[in-house]
Amino acid sequence: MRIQGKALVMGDNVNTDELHPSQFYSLDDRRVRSGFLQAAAGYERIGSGDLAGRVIVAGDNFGCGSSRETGARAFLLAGVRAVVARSLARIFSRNVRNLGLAAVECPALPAIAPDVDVELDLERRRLQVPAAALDLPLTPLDPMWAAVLAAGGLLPFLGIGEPGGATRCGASLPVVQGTR
Amino acid sequence: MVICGADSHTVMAGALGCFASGMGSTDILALLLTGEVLLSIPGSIRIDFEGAMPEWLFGKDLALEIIRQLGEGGAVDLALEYRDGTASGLTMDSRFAIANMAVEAGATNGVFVPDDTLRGYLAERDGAAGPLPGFEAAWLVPDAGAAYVRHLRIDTGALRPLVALPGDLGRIVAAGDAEPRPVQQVFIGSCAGGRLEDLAAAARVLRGRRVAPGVRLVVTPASQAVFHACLRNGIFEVLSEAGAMITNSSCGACGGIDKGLLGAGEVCVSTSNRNFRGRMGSPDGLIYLASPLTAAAAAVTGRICDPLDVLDDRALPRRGDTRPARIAGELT
Repeated sequence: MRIQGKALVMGDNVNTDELHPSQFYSLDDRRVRSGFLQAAAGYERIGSGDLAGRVIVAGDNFGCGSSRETGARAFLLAGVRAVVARSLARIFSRNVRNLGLAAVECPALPAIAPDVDVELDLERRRLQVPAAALDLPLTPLDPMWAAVLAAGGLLPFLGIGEPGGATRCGASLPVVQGTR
Repeated sequence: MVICGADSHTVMAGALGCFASGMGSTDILALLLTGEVLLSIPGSIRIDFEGAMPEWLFGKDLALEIIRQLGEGGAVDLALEYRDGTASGLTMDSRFAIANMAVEAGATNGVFVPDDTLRGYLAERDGAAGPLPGFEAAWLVPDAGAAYVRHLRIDTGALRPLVALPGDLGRIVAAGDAEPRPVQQVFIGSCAGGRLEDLAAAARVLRGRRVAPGVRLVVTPASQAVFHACLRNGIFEVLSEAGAMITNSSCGACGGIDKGLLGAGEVCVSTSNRNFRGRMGSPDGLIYLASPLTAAAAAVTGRICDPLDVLDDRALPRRGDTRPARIAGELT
């Protein structure tokens, strides 16, 4: 899987309350989308703008804090294409991958300029930033997470939902008996 | 025993000798459907609490000291293994407060090595029914010769009350070293800081005192059991007479949900677990994290302060002592 996009650069220890404050915890997708980045200082206007095709490029411990999945859903609803960080908070990385959005770690990631083009190659496990002449290795994903991403999320991986289905509130889930 | 919950503070159950880890709702849905979950086996950081445990030091102070030493992301994908080697022993309420904040260092889980303190707590909870057969066999106990990524030794006798400065958990300092900034709200509550020990400590500080003018004190018990215990033993009466607002037990202000949200520019001292921007309401509110003692002292003085500097000896609460707060003469 290759993912290209314009970088949206963020810092270290960016937490879930900054990324998506709790007053936007909602069953209404428009409300969820409108909360994206609304408590991240200096990012409020960016969060409200057109983010289709963006790749979040962040520092250490990105997404620390809450397990609220609405925060992860806001990334998809905003059109973010992938997240790459020096390191990812555990619950956040699970949440976005479960919804089918690639979240990968690049421990050698230096600070990069805002809005430059970046490219992720998940098979070759490389991050490329042509403007900075960077070609860096990504931390290998557990094979199950790679399969979850290839399927478009955890529920489709388990054969019980469409890719991206979990991002739609109110999407009905089939009653599953004896999945295993 | 393995516990997974759709709440990042599921890690709190590590005080019960379990592997307990938080995750999101799709993870939990899949777990309910399949009975399985993918977890990578975390390396471990061993944390030994040693020395005397002063009566004015609380689980929250120790939780903050751990994060001060490890850093906010210092335990990502790692397990914290706590060992209580203090002279007096940590109370279960303090252990819950410590395990609750394992996730704030990024840890997958945090577990107290089971001991007689846990055994006694469970025996009281189980009552006449007694424990489930084989329950103790499911406790997590370290292997002999276990390897650790890192080993912290925390001398509890050398600590002072701590506060986390607003914004993130990267700046944790002695309460007395923080700028004595005026506060508009004090929040004593939540899963992390609304247990009986916490509310009893607040009542001992506030007994016979008033919440400072211009400060609202919001008290949210951690559970119905804590709520009812406080009704029975007079803690609510003391807090209410001091001017506190007491809410039902639930998630609330600490998660930015309701019952005490911050307005722009307001400063709050909270016994909860996150001081992130926007966490408790307005992104322009400022949240300090502290023990119930430090929080109650801020409610009385109206500013951030070291409780040991402003409270005379008679008001210093005894940690873990949850006897009725209204016993005549108890504090004098």
